[in-house]
Amino acid sequence: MELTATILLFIGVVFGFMAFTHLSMNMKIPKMTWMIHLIMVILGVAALIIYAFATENVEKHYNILVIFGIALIPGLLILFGKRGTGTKKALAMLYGLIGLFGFFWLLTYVLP
Amino acid sequence: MKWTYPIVAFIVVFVLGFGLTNLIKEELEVSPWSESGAEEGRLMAHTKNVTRLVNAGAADLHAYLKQTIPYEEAKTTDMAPSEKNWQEFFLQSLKVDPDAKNIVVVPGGGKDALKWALPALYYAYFNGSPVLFYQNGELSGNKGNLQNKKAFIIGSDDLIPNLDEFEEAERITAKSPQQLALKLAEYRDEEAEFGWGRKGDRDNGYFHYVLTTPDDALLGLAALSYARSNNATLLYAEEDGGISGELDRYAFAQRSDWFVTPSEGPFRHFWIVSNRVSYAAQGRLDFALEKAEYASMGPVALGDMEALMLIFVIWGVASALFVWIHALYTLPMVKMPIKISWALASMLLPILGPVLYINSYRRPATEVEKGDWRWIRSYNQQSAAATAMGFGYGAPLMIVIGFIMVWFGFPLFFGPGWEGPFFWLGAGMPIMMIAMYVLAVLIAWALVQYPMKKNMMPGMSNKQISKMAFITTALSMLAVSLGMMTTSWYMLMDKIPMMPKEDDVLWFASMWLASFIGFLIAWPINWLFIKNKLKPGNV
Repeated sequence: MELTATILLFIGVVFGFMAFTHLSMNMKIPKMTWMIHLIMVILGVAALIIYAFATENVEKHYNILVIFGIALIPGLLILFGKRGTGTKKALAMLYGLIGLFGFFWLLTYVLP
Repeated sequence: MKWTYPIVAFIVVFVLGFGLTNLIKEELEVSPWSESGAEEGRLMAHTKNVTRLVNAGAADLHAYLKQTIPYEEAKTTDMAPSEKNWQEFFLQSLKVDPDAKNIVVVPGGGKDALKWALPALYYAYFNGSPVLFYQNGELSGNKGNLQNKKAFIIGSDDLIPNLDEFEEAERITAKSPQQLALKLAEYRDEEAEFGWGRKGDRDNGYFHYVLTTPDDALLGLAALSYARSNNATLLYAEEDGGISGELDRYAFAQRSDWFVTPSEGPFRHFWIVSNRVSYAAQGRLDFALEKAEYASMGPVALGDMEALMLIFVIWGVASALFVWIHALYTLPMVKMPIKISWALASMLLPILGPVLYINSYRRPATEVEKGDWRWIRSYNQQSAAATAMGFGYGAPLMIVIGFIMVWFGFPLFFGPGWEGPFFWLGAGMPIMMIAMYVLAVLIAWALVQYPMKKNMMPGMSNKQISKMAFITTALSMLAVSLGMMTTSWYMLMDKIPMMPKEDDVLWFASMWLASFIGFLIAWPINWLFIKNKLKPGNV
């Protein structure tokens, strides 16, 4: 489950990066790109939560869930707020940095 | 085609971001160790570093050590030492080196004299120095060739007065035999080759210690073999079996640390020969000498070099963020690949990166074609910009490839046939350097330089563009490597005592510093490219 979450989140990271590249070039983000990012991240986090309940391991990755929770704040502001591209860029950068940090943190446990 | 630049940027951000996050995690993991390390170390390695030689007296100990230390060079005489014959025992055991540059003069006589003499006798036995005993105004012992030797008189004026027999003499004394032993352990006269010179800041040395009490000095003499077999210095505990603050300080200063594995050494050890030394003292000494992982040594875990370099890396990340955000909001006329390369270059060029970036764009610009802007810059500034274009993608890619290689490891192909002129291929570092260069050139060529050139020179054929892009990429990366590889070799193989791993601050720091130097070397070389119009410097 930990590995599934990592793979799902990795796909989420790749599509998030693609969305961010569009945004930083002042382009409209294709619907497919941000939808895939959204779905993958939701599935990945769901997998992490299932892992936390199912595993007998001491490390339940609560800290990563907290980091993702923090990333959720700018994330939701981008998704639902009516804002200009400039503000969206700044929010996306904040969201991306926090989210990537959480993902890397997960990766330090998963990589051999 | 335009997707390739963000892909390279993604690879760089992904791998280096992971590496730096991993670094933070490792540091957070080891920091609590400075709290529980003491207790844990004591429990886990109870007295690994101290061996107690329980014995029934000097004769017993001497017989035991004759059996267990069979080396010819460390053999003492067959006669067992006693309070009466200790001088004779020592002189018969001592193998005088005719080339020794010093003479050791110690008090002779009874048990009290032995207490003062013993620390120096250990060194004399180790070094093969001639020894003279002073008793009742007379000198006895190795009276042979005393020319051109410096005499070291051990003990105070009360024990041995000033003597006229020697060309050059120096007195070494202390308030107590314990302090004298410690003084000799740290003292060193390089010219006369006298004194152990074992201070806390020695970073080499496989040596041991023999510990006894002054009252049990005879047991120390019985263990004289250790002075040669284990390079052991004699130290004294207090008469009540405890250890003094001075000895505690000294023993803790001798604690060594390891970087990657404890097998790096050096190992230090105490041999306790007096039954009077308490178990509390034994445990304390054992703990004092217990080797610790460099990273878990508490407040000292962050060395001066690491602290400086960490600031360097943090400034780099901050510089990259500044340049990226600034370019994103204020420079719509600059193309995305160029913004990415400025940001990635600034990551490795703390302060310098933003300075060059601002200097490149705070000047007049003209629009040569629709959406294609050129800035008016001096040759120096043009070569800086051109260097940053190649460097921004190339140098982080080299670090990325290096990181992946050290994280996952890579095979070494070293067989018996490799011992000729190509022996260096059997070492990890050259292979890593070659792989870093070749792979980084290939990636930068295919994903960055080729599409960039294609975009800028639409009239040229694909074959010509790919050839030209390859040559300029290979050459400019070679220029960067010139500085980068030499600096990373210097840092990893020479400056830092032990090769750091990829989760050490010093690994990243070395790479960052090496890249910085690489840029400085490549800058003037790129001036030639600009002068010959091989690279554009005003975009």
